[in-house]
Amino acid sequence: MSKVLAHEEIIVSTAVKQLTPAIYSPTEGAPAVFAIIHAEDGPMRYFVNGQNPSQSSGALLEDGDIVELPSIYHIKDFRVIRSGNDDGKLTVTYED
Amino acid sequence: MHLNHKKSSRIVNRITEIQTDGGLPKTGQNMSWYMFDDGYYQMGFPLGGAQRFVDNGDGTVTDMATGLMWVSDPTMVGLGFTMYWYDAIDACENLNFAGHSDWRMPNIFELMSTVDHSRYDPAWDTMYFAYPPDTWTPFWSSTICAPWTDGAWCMYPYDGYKTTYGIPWDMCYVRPVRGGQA
Repeated sequence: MSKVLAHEEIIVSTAVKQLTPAIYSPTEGAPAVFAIIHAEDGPMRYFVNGQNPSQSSGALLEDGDIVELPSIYHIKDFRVIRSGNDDGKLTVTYED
Repeated sequence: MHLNHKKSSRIVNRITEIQTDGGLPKTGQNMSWYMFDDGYYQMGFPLGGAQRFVDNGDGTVTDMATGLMWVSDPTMVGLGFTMYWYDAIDACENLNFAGHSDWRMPNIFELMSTVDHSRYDPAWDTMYFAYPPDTWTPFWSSTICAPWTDGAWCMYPYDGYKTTYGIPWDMCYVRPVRGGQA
């Protein structure tokens, strides 16, 4: 049974964002090995290989979508940017 | 380990399914004759032995398992006789009863959902569904019998047996229904 370690909320605008290392991999304790991301508001695009997405490239992430990141590698390499005119919002839950 | 991305459209659909009382209704068998038979598990809705049918007191019955509303006694609404399939469809569509005008003829799954397999002659709970004029004349459903498009699926009140009757020439009873999901 996994345990929830932390949450964070990220507003995604015109600059590429990544998940926050200080939250998913704190100086004390084990890092997260799983993350579930809930998307809200404006559409976004993402990659999970460290590559920067753009407004026209990357997997489309829309309001209500849920993305599960199954490893620390996916978590570290998650990159996201908004793809429309409105900012998107990500709510991320990290688990051990 | 793979990335899992669930699209909101699919998630909404799944939530919709869960929010209904949806799922198969219980068969009605509440005695277990053999280990692990239907009566042993009594799977289906409503859960936990809750009441399945509700008599609305206006000649209609609501099935808490399927969400469907039924006419309790077709005779009360002038449908207590056998009729051709087309006439049965029309009668349901034109029915205005208990404050509702969206009655229709049930499909075969809906019709079969009223069967209580612990009963026969008729195979339904007569506390909620009136005794039919006779139990050996089927009730029509709106479901066509593929590939025989001159036939429609029907259900015998006697034992809930599913059968087919000819649309152009056979005459059966009908029990209007309303509600459900498209």
